[in-house]
Amino acid sequence: MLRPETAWEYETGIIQNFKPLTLRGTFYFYDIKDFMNDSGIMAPGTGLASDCLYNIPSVKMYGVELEAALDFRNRFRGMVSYNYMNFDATESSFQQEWSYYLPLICPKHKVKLMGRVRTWEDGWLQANVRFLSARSVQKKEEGRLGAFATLDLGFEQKFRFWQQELTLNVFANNLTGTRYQEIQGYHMPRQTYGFTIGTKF
Amino acid sequence: MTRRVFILSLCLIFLAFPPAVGAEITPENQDPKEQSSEAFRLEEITVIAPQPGVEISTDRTIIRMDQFKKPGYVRTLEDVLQEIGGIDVLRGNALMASPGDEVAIRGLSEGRLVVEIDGRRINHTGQMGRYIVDWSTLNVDDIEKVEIIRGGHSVLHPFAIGGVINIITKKGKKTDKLKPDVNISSGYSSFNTYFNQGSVDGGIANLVGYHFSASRQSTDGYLRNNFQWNNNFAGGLQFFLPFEANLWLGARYSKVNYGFPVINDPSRPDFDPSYPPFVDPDALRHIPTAIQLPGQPIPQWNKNTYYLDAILTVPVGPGTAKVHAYTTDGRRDIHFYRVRAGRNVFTNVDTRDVTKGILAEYRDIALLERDYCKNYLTVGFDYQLLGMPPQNPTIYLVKSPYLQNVVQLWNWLNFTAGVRYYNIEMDTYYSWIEQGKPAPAFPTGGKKQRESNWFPSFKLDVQATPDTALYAAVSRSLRLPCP
Repeated sequence: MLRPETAWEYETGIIQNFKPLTLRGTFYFYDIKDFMNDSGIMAPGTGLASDCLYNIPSVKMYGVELEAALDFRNRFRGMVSYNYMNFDATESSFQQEWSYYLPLICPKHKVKLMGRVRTWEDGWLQANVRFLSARSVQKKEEGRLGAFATLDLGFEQKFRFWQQELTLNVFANNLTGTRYQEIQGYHMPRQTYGFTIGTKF
Repeated sequence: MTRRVFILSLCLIFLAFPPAVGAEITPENQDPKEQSSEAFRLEEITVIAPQPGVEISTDRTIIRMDQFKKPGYVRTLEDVLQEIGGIDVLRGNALMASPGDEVAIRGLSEGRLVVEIDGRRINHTGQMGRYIVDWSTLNVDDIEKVEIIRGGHSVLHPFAIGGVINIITKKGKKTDKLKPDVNISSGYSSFNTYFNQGSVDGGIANLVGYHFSASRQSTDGYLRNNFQWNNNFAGGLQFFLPFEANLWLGARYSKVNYGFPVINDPSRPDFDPSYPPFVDPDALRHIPTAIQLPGQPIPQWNKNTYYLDAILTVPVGPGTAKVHAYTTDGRRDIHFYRVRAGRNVFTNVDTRDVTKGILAEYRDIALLERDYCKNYLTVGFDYQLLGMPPQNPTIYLVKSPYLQNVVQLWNWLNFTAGVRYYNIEMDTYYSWIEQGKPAPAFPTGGKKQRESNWFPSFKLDVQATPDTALYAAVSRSLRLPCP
């Protein structure tokens, strides 16, 4: 019989303001008992995936979150965040063809950067960068997904007339044309371009 | 062990009570509209504001949607969460939030973290009791802000191993000006991806506030047959009643038509070089595990999701009473290939999931308010019923009382202690391993189970200097034991 999953969660952190720089650091540790994992199997004769749920006696997860933000109001804002996540799980003989839940498919290392600079009155240029380290896939035989980084770039301009506000955004996502997959098998497009336009009154 | 945890929890909670006297002052930093926010918090605490509209304090991240900026569309909750440090958004389609996407906080995904609207959970049942979140139905049209609580350190949110994502919706304004705030936007991008959206916010004669929104988003998709379109409508009325009471009646509706990606294998004669290869991908929740074939009939699903909420808030004595009744009704109409006797057979399956619940809470009861010490108590009761009618209308029945006490000393130290009790009755299924069969076998239903236990939580926030905030937390959490 499946047992209910429970966790003791421990966490400590600090936020320090050095104006205009602010830093945040967090450490966490989760001690999960009877982690319910889901191995997928194909049930014979049905062609349907069967849920092969079982308890992993112990999963210990731990990680660090670090974040720095720089804020020169009305001129520049910047952010960098780094996240490290890892876990130890006891072995189980019930592991089957693939796994839905184990945090294997999430990256151990993750970095996000954001920079937003005012180019002129009501005009802002913003760049977002995202890096994910290599990670496992659900199906063991498919190996690992490689690390990737993407760059998104956008420009926003506000126009005001009478009591109306008009905002125009143009953007290019994955500007460097990185070939990547967030989930194994699902290829992501290279550059995508677009615009949005909105008004408030 | 259970007994020890319970006794330890109660001791710590009651140690946190200083001598209690009634008081009438409401904390200044708490917006009464934000019904689902935590109880009392430090009045001034150092925060980090890494991005426009994003503020991170020692206990949560707050994203104010009217200020949040990123390159590209901000149409769904996923578009927002992807930019937040510490959150993983793993997508099957970069162009729109898709039903099979995964969102994880600290490596723990929707099977453990909790997603809420105005403080009530929307993780719903599916696949015989596994609870899931369909990210494609969560657009941002009516969202005022998003709260993210990392970890399970708040007893106000049940079943939160990993964390909580709480969506606070817009609820109109108390005003005598007839002119509403109107917001209209449109966008177009690669792969024929576009959206149109409009919303109005306002009030009438200081008696009724309102918010209504409508939107449509669509894409041809990057993978073969991975088209999608969503129509969303949301809105509600807020009645400003005597004695500062409020009644919010809200509704949301989402319709999603999603094309399952079909095989596009260069070694097959039906390969289409205008699409990327799509061969033997990882299995996603909601997505059929068998190979889906191109051409007619088209593998796809239609999903209609209805959310209904009624929230009554009444100041009563030293605190505020709140009753929140809600229901989520999801209907999926799935057309897909499955393997039968070695052959691909096209099948139609209709499924339904329904969640109903009542959340009753007496919050922020001011037990003591002095310059050097403040003390607030919140007590509540959660009743949730999750099922898949008509086959199994009650897969889970959850009854869960909780209690949280917050003590603030000298305006720089906050100690929060709480405990939640769960009583869960389940009617799920036996997986292959539980059936004791040597070979893989399909699950069989009829597994009755009852679980109950106490789960404590403790948190200390310290504003050590005007520029330094420290915190530490320890808590015990439960995952809804599905199935």
